[in-house]
Amino acid sequence: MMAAGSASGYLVVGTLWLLGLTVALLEVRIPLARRTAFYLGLASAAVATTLAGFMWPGDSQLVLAGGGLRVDGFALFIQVFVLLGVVGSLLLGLHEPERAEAGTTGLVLMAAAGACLLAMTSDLMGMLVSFVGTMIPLWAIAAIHPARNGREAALKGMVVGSLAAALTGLGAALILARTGTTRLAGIAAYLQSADWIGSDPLLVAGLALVLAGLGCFVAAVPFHMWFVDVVEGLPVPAGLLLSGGVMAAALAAVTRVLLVGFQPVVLSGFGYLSWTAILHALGLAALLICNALALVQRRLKRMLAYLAAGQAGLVLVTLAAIGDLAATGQQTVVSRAIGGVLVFLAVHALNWVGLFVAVEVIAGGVKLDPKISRLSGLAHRHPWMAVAIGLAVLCMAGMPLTAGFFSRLYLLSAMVEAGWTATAAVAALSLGLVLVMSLGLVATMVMQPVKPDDLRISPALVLVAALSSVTILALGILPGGILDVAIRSAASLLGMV
Amino acid sequence: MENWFEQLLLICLPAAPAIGAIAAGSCPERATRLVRVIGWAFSIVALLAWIALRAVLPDAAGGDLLVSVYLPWVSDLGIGLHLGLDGTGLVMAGMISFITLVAMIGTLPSLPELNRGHVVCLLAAEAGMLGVVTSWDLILFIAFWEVTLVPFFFLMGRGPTRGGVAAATRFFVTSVASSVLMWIGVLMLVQAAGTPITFDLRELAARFADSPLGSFSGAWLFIPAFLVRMAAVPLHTWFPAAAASVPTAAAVLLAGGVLPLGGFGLVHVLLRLFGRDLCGLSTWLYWIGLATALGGALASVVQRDLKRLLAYVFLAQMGLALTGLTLGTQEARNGGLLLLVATGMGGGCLFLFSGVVCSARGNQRIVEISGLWRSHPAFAGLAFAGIASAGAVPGTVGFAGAYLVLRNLSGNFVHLSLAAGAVLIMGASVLWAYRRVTGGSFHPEMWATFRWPRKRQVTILAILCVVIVLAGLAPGVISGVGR
Repeated sequence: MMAAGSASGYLVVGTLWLLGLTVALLEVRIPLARRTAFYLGLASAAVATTLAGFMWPGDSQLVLAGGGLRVDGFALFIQVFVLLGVVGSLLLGLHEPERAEAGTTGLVLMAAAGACLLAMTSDLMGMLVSFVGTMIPLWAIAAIHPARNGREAALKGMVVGSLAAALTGLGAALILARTGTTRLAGIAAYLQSADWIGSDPLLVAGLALVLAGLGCFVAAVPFHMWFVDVVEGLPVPAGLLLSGGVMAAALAAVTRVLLVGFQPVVLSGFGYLSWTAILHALGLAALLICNALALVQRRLKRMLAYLAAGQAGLVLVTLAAIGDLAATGQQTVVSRAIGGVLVFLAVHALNWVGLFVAVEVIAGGVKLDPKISRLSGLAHRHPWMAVAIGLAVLCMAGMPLTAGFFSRLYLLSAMVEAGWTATAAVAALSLGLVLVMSLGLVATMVMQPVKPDDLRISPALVLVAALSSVTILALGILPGGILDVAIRSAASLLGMV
Repeated sequence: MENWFEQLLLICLPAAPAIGAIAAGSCPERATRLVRVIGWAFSIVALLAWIALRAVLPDAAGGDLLVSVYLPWVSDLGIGLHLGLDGTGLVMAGMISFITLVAMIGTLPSLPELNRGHVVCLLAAEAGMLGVVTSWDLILFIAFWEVTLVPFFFLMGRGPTRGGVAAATRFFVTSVASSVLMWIGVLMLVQAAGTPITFDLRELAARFADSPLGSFSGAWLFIPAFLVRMAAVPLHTWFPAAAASVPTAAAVLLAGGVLPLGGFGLVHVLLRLFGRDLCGLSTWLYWIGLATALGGALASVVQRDLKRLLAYVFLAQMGLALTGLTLGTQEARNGGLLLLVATGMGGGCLFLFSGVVCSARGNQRIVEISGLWRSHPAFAGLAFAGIASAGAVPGTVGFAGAYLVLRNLSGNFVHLSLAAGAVLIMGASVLWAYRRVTGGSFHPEMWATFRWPRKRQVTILAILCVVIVLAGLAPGVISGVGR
């Protein structure tokens, strides 16, 4: 079991990387039919999903690379849903393959591999490497994308990303200097045994730098601008990957770093080291500012990017609350709350597939990020497509009967259980804002007059839309199973401490 | 499973319209007739299910469950699909299925090409409202509570005018903002209830009966959600605006479903869990109720628009209902419940009447409408039942409710005179409007040439009138089981 598990742990990442590299090289060197490239990528993503799915249940966890990688239930849970998002993204790419540049499919697969690595890594430096490994292929895609703002987006992403990498690296170095390790388990062990860490300048500065770097990667306010620009500059399938799957994996990585590595310093009496307050502020700012900015967007991809950043803010606030909750030592409550976060991330990855279907539907023939008004009257032209998009939009807003309702409920429930009632109320009101916005989108599709129709619906698009609607409804109507799995996965994370 | 028949009927209540909505939505847009048949059939099925339930269920004493179905939903969090009906719920469910049938039969889509959407929205709204009434799990309750908003938004917004969209948006925004606060309130409440974690209303009520909440800081988080739906001061502004500008079907359902459901939610959740003094909030709500009653009645006097005048009158009636519900005595509470039913029935009746009349006249100003008594005596005469109920004329359900509430106020002269003043002013203003609209001479050249009212509109209005009068003559039918 051990050997098989460890082998498939490597296999998940390895398959994607190798295939990604092959496809990228092939596509650039030998002009492979675009469609073939997509099919190759799709097959490998499907294989990786199946592998990751098979390795669950992760009650037993595998430690690879001397503790740097952990293939536990938590990692596998995230990987499965990130990979499902990748499958959705590649299927979307099949809609109009001629719009993709050569090499895009391979780079998407590489980014997916990086995201899978992110979910497993259990080491500060490994985290940094996998973050950068995820981002570089995405910047490359943006750079070769012929849209007007592609290169600008790549440059912005690279500048901010390098800064974030430098910050994280410096922070990790400072922490290494004090604790003698960058492994999360080792850091936690040191923090638990030491008694004056609250005023230790090395640790305080190190943690602050790491938090800043991670905040940058998950697009927390005030570092959210790069994210929105990059999503806008990327072609649709890659934009979906960044704002859906990669965002979910990055948030999972943050969860692991904070709740495994730095959990011991939440207890009162640790002075500046209590990261929950910082995360609380960062998350609330992201939640409120990004959701408000999403409200005023005219272009769909930018709006979705802001909403994704807002979702990240919601998760950050919840993580802060869980940090406080964990300090009280109620293990079952904590693993339930982390399970809720996992469900939220999974639903986020799936939901964003459905939302980007909308982008792909109206992106036909447009070089730039399409305007939201191009959705108007869609319900009269393509009623079933409008139903699918409407479901995804309402899921994003947490409407009952969709998966989004319960996933948001779990996060709010975690906040209330930690006693953060006012925060929960603010978060809920900002969700109300999203609900209003989403109804505006639906109203655009239903109540606005039909626009001259240059929209093309392909079988690939219909397939993605159908799959995303089915999952959204299934998880909304029968939410019990996934939460159960997620709670057990979360328990595997807590078992490490 | 000895009572599987009742359980099946119970599931039918929200399920039949939901299935109907899906079926009608899957029909092609041109199949107007088929869609209408589906709409009628499924709303009749829901009403028949209710009639059968009313026949087989015993008269209940106490607010306990008469019939229930339980399925686990999210077992880790103690969330279940718990449908059930107690006496109050039974009355409400009947009223809602009846009023939706009235809207389905009595109203036309605001534009002919919107027929399918009209039927789908009506059925979906009915499913949501019946879900609210039958849910005995707080999460299920919230789910239905919010899902109902979507069909209402489209029902209200898809009219010929832009005003409907503005009103729908206002309703939607205030509703959402208040109901997300209720989410937090529910989560706090469940946390206060201790372990094992459960959202089951009956279980929670049992726990709080053993150890009352005392002063629970989350109680106020529940209040806005119910007050918005009841259109209580100061959260009432959406209702007159909506009533004046939305299509007739939406107005009928707003007055006949949404307003009473706000009051029902107060009884179903708050009074059950928080006890009689609502964790110290009942005094506040009592005053809000009085202010709504008096303010609504006074505001109705100065209205020149028929639908706005009716909106303010029903808003005032809801205020009186709120006063009754929070007064603390059993009799006043029954009066409050009767007033909820009165608003539902009377609102349904009068908004149907005014919708038909105003669209035939092409004008909503009271002074522009006259002579209905000469031209359409039967239709105008039937509407008098609704007017009489709103004006608390003896023999109607409105009188029965108002009387019970006022009688329980008789200990305090000032409060009694405020409430009685509100009732008198309400009566005066609806009667004035009715006299203006029906009296005088009829100028045929000012009215639309198409045939109005349609035969089915007159028929359904007649049935509604019979129900209003019956409920007024034998209020025990409602208050007896609504304990």
